[in-house]
Amino acid sequence: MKIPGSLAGDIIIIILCAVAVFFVFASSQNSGSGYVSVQTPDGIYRYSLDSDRLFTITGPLGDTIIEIRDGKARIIDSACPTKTCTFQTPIDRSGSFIACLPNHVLLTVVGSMNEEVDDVAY
Amino acid sequence: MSPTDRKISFIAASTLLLSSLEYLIPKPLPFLRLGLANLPLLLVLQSIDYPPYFFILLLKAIGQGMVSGTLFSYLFFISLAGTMSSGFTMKLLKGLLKKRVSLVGISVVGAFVSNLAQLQVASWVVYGPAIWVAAPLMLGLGMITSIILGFLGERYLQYGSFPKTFLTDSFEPVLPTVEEQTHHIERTIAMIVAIAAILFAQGPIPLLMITLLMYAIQRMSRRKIRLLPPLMLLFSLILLALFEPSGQVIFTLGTLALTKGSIALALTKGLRLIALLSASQSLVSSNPRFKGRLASLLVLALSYFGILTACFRTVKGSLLERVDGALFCGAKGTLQAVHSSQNEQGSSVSIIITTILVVGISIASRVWM
Repeated sequence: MKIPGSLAGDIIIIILCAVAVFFVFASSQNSGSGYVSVQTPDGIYRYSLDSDRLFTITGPLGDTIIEIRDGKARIIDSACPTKTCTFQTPIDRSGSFIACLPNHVLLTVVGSMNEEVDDVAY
Repeated sequence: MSPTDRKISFIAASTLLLSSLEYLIPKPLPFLRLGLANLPLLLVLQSIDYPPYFFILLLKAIGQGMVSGTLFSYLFFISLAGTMSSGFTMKLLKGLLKKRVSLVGISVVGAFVSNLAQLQVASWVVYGPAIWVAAPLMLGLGMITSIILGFLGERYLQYGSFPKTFLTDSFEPVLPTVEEQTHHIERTIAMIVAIAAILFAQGPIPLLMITLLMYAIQRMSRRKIRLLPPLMLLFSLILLALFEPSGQVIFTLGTLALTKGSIALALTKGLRLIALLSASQSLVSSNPRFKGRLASLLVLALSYFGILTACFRTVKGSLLERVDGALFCGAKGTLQAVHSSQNEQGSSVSIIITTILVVGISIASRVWM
C-alpha cells in the first residue's frame, strides 16, 4: 500500500484533538470547587459548591440558614444568642470552617482545589 | 420532485439505514455512538454544495428522531446540535484542506465537535454541569471510533461500487411510491397536552405515576416499548448525582456521597425525561403531518429508508457489501418497502382518557406538593 499524501495532515489533526481531550481531562480534574459538609445533630449533610442555593438546618435552638453563592458558603442567620457565625467571612478553601456551636452546626469545605493557605506554607 | 431532491432524500435515507444498524449495538450511555450514520456524510462532503448538504443534515437529525421516536423530546436537541455542528465543521475543513487531509482526519474532528456540542446541550437540558465528568471518556472514545469510521470511509470509497455510480451526475434514484398514512389528529393533540402536563408535574412520585400511564398510552398506540434505554438513563443520572451532593448523606464512598436531595432531583429529571420520551413515541405514531419543502423531503427520505431496510435484508455478505448492495437495490427501486401494518391501532378514546388522568396527576402534584 502506498503512503497517502494526507497522512501528515491526519496525524497533525489527531495529535491536536488528543491534546484538546487531555486539556478537557485536566480541567475536569481541577474544576471541582468541592462541597461543604454540614454536621448537625441529626446527621451529616453535603452540598456541592458548584450551584447556588439557600437551605435551612434545624438544631436544638432552632433554624440555621446557610447560603451557597459563587462557590462560597456562609451562615446568613442562626437561632443562637450572639450570632457570631453570621459575621464570619464566606468559606471556599478546603479545610476552612464556620461553626455555630450553640446550635450544634459545623460547616466544613472538603475537596476543593483551593487549599487553605496555612497548609501550603508549612 | 427534482433529481436533487431525490438525491438529498436518498443520502439522508442511507444515514437512517446506518443509524438503525448502529441501534443494534448496545451502548453504555444513551447518547454514546459509533457514528456509523456519519459515513454517508463523509462520502458526499466533496461532491455536494452547502444548501443541499444542509438539508441532508437536517433530514438526518429529524429522520433519526422520527425512527427512534425521540423527535418530540429534548433528546432531539442534543442530537440536532451534534449533527449540525459536526456536519458543518467537516464540510468546512474538507473545503479548506482538500487533499491534505483524508477522511480519517475529517472524521476525528467531526466526532470531537459533535461530542463537545452534545455535552454542552446535554448539560443545558438534562444533566447539568456534572456531565462534564464524562467528557474525557466520551471525547477519548469518540477519537477511537472516529478513526475507525474514517478508515471505513476511505476503504468504502476505494472498494465499494456504489460511490462511483453515485458521484456521477447522471445518478438518479427511482422515485418510490409513498403510502399515505392516516393522521390521528386527536392523538396528536392528546400527546401535546400530555407533554405540557409532564413538563408541569412536580415530584418523583407523581412523575412515576405519569410515566407508567405514558407507557400504557404507548402500548395503546402500538409503539414498541424498550425498557433498557430508560433504565440506562436513570442509572446515568443517579451516577452523576454522586458528583452534585445536596442534602442529607445516605452513604459515602470516599469523596463521593449519595445524598437525599440529589437522588430526588435525579429521579425527577429522569422520570420526566422518560415520560417525555414515551409521549414522543406516541406522538410520532399518530403520524402528524407537516407542510413545506422540508416535510416533503422528509416523507421521501423515510420511504427511501423503508426500501433500503427491505433491501438490506435481502443482500448477503459482509457489512460493507450488504450496505453497498442495499444502496444499489434501493436506488433502482426494484423492491418495495415492507409496511408494518400500522392500520390496526388501538382506540383513541382510551388514549384520551389516560391523557386526562395524566393532566389530573400533574395538576394535583402542583397543588399538594
